[in-house]
Amino acid sequence: MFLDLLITAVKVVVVMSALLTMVPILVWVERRGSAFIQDRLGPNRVGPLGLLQPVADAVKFIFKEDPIPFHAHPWLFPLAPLLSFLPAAITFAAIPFGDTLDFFGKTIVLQIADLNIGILYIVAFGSLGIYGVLIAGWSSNNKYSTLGALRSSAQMISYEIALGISLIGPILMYGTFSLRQIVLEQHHLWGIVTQPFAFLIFLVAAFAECNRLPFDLPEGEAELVAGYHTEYGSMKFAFFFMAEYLHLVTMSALISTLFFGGWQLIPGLTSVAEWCGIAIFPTSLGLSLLQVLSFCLKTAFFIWFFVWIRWTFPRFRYDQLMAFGWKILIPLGLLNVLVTSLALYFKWI
Amino acid sequence: MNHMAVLMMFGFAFLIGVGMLLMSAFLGRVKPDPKKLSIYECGVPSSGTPHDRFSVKFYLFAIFFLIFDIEVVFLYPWAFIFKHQIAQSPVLIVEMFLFIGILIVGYLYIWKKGALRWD
Repeated sequence: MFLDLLITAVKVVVVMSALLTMVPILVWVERRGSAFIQDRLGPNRVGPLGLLQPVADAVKFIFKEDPIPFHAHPWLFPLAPLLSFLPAAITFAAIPFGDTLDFFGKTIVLQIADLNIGILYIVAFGSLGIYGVLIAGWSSNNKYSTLGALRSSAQMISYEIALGISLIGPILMYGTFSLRQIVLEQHHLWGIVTQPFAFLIFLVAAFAECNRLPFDLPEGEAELVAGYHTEYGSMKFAFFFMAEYLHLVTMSALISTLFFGGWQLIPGLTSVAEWCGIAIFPTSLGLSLLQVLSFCLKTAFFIWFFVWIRWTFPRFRYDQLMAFGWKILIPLGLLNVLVTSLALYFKWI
Repeated sequence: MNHMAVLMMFGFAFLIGVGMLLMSAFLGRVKPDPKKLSIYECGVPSSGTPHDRFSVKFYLFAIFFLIFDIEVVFLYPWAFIFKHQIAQSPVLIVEMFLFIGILIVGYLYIWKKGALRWD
């Protein structure tokens, strides 16, 4: 019992540290990536290739003045960044990043919590982030913040329906909510093959849920300054940023888990490993590491995909955004549910 | 054990969150200034209240969200048992087609009413 608790604690600390380290790396990837796409140099002064730039930013965030404006709500205003950060940080708990690891005769499941309601957990906690956004906008007592928060929450709840409907496809296919089970079921065939429409709908809805371009209307700077976090500065502002990037990482991980086999090995990776002389047999350390590597590579690809899209597409107009969510994604999602259930009934798949 | 793990994750995230906010509050310089602490309004003094009336569309979409979200919640248990029980009780698929069919009638109604238009 005590040992189990200790193992869980170690897993929690390792995963949280990895997630929080991802944030500065992502900031760097985003800035260098945008520079690469727009044929600029990007940050290249602090450290080699500008790699230390996010560290410098973080230090600056900590030492900046952190004012609470006169008109802001005294305690809801500082609470909002935390409310936005917490759900984003703990959603990852249900995602399996590997199968099992044999460690001195003890089998460790490479997942923080193998919840039998994993999908529901992620959807539930992922959507709690709206409260942070809404409270931030309302408590700032600023017109831009209020409008940005209203827009943002309307957008997020609209796309949450599409997100929820698209998830029904994989649930129908695998008959389980547990993400670990879903990954195990994808041993022979990745989910994308049987659920391509669910994947597309989920991808688009994930962009909107993360408030990323082309759906970053809440921060349309020409009309709303910085949207719901206009009044925030210093570490509080950094928390909204962290929440956005953590959300992005979790969504990428979820996409690879549901549709790209999660930690199932990338085809060809076994031969590379054999060529390198890594022993691969069930429950070996080499296999566990390769599984974690596969998961990380898939997730990294989707993270880069998010950055890539951001610097490639222009922003939607707000009415186009709402129309796209309500008139295209939701009917498509319902159609996908009907077709999937029919296909299962007639045993086509 | 699994719920314990979620709780631990929450606790750890909470500690990091509060810790970093407090660190910045203590380490950041403090030099208040009336102009600095006023509402941001592109350089002019702010007028009126930010919590004014806003478009009723937001309210309408919030209600649609509730309706459709509950509908999705009803779909989840069905999707969960579908694969395991479709062989024994084929009526499962008819039930859900009826449910989604009724929903689509309502959906088409709000679409035709123009409630999904945003302008």
